[in-house]
Amino acid sequence: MSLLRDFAYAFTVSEKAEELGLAAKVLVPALFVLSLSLPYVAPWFEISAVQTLLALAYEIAVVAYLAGYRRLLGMFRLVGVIIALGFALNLISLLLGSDPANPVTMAFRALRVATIVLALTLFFQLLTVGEIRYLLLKMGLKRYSEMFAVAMALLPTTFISFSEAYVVAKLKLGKKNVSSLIKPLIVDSIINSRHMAEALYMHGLPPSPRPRLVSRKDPVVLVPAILVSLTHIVISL
Amino acid sequence: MPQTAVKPIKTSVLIAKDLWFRYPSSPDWVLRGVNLVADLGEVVLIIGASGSGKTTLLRSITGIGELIYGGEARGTIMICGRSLSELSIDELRGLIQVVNQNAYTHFIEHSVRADLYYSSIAIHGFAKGERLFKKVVSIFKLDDLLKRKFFELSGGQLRRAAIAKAMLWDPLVVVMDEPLMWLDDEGLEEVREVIVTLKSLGKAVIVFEHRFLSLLDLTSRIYLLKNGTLAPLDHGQLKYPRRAPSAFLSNVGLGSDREDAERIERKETSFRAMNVWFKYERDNNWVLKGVSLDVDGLSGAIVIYGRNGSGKSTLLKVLAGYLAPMRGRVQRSPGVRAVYLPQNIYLFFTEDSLIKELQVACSQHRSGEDCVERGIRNMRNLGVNLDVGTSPFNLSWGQAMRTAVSIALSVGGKQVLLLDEPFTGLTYADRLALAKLLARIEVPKVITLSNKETVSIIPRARVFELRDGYLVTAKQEVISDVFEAAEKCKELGISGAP
Repeated sequence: MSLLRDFAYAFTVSEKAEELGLAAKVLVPALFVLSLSLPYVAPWFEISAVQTLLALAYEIAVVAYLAGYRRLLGMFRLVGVIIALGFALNLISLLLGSDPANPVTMAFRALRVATIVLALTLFFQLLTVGEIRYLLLKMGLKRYSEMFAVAMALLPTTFISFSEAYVVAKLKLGKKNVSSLIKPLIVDSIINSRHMAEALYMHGLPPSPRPRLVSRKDPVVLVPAILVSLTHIVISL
Repeated sequence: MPQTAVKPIKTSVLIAKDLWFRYPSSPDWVLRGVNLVADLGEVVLIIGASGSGKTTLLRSITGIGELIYGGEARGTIMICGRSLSELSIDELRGLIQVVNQNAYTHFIEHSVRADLYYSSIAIHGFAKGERLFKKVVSIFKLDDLLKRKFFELSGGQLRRAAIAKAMLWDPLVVVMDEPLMWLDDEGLEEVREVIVTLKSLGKAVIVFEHRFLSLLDLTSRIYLLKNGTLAPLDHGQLKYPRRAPSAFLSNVGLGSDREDAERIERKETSFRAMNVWFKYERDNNWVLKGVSLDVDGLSGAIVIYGRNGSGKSTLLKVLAGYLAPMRGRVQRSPGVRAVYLPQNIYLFFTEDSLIKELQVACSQHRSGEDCVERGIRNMRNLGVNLDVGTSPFNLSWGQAMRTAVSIALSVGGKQVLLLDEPFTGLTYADRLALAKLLARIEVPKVITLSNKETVSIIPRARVFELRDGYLVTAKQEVISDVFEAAEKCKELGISGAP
């Protein structure tokens, strides 16, 4: 359950992110996602384990600065789970008769996926719901921007309900039947959504104000991010 | 926007005349000719049994009933002399605002500051928006909450922030749907303070509330919603002339007299918590500090009183075996099962119908062929006289609680009921009825409560207070007003209990 809580917190914005401008908030995670994803679109492009570790270290430093060391521990757990999942998938491929990669390659690939996932969560830790809405609106995705805002607003209450439903189902029906929590959770989500619709009717979902594009503190996070991502691209080339 | 205190003017800002409303799913009218008036600077209290149509009335006077729920409304609603149907949505928002029962749903941004600030800017533009934001923060004393995330606030703080958000529109009418639900005694005081502020600002405040005793002194008008109509009530109709508490207690059969005391039969201890210490992972603070508690076969109940966030639910989960103590241990007698009934009782149900709930519970615990029959009998005995094909998600709060208890009891065997705030959302009469019903059940019970009003109605309770992680013995205060209110509610038909 605490893993799930860590996961939920990975999608909540940090108060310290207010110090940064919109451009830096978008560019820092985008640089890592794009550079680390290059091998998927250009298979000849290689990224070494050291370069991935460098990117991961920098992302960790940003999370630690934004959210403190407690949340960072949660992030480590998430990274661990993703690596474990990567291993599991490779083992399944072995069982299915595919040619699996060697364990070191497996670990490295899983680490890269974890670094990409961490970079993706950085979007949510850096950008407020309003700023993401603003960006979506600028892209002409008005409907999606509203859906996103509602989904993000409902995320914490859904998590609270899930956590309680899980406890009840486990105690009532045992660990094996814990999936029974789906029904009460769906009902609860529908009730919450109705309340949310009522609240939106009364408050509206006003267009997000134009965020600050740049800030004096941007170079502090942006320059190292460019250096780290460019370094591994340059080395790879 | 909120100015400094203004002198209330006797002007009716909200008038509902002969209001009828029904939902598309049913041909029956929920509201049948409701008449309601609210003046500036006054607090109007609307009470009624669960399912009497309070929330429907709230939805009708704001137009939500028609627009979101597709219902049919008849009659007239005038807000500041203008018909509801004439108002644009922004005009409506500027005149009337609603604070939902579920205050979480008022926030879009996770940070309280970001949510209120951006809302204010979006409504009024940068300069005025920033000024109004600062004013609202100051009036509702939100400085300490601004850096927090809305889902980390306590119940009272959350309500305060939600009311502040509503006030960004500077409405003349503020409607609150059960603002005291889930609140502890401290949260209740916070909401009271906010209502006093709104009143002093000259706003018309309409409060829909079950737990009305603590609001009576603030209200100038009280209505009872029953059979789809509103009837005005005098304050005196909700309270008896003062009498001695002990006499009153013996009248309702809940006195802790000697006879009752002798009837208490100590049986074997079911659960024993021994010097339990607990804290959540990566949290520096201990939630439970050396808690020791014997849960035995008393016919009375163990009541754990404490503020919201004091660790009451955590203690229940430790007793239930869901959470493991860091230090100390919980000893359970062989074969004793913990049945945990959560705060949100609807999360207890996992099946489509009552009969399936019983069948699943019985098969889960291999409770024999007569288990389902026993369960149905239990439900009838506890006043749930519904078709067994009914969905548990359609039950009222009181029915849901009684049904959950019936299902738990039907599987038989040794068990301990762990009830997390079971009285929330119930009228005073329903609270008293549930308290009496629980007293009749010869099963050890641990009940968590966050307000002293409700602690006072639990018969033969052993009361403890959980404070700063320590569990200490506490005294059960006699609050006779609650019993009076319960009797009055019953007389007035504000009760769904059998």
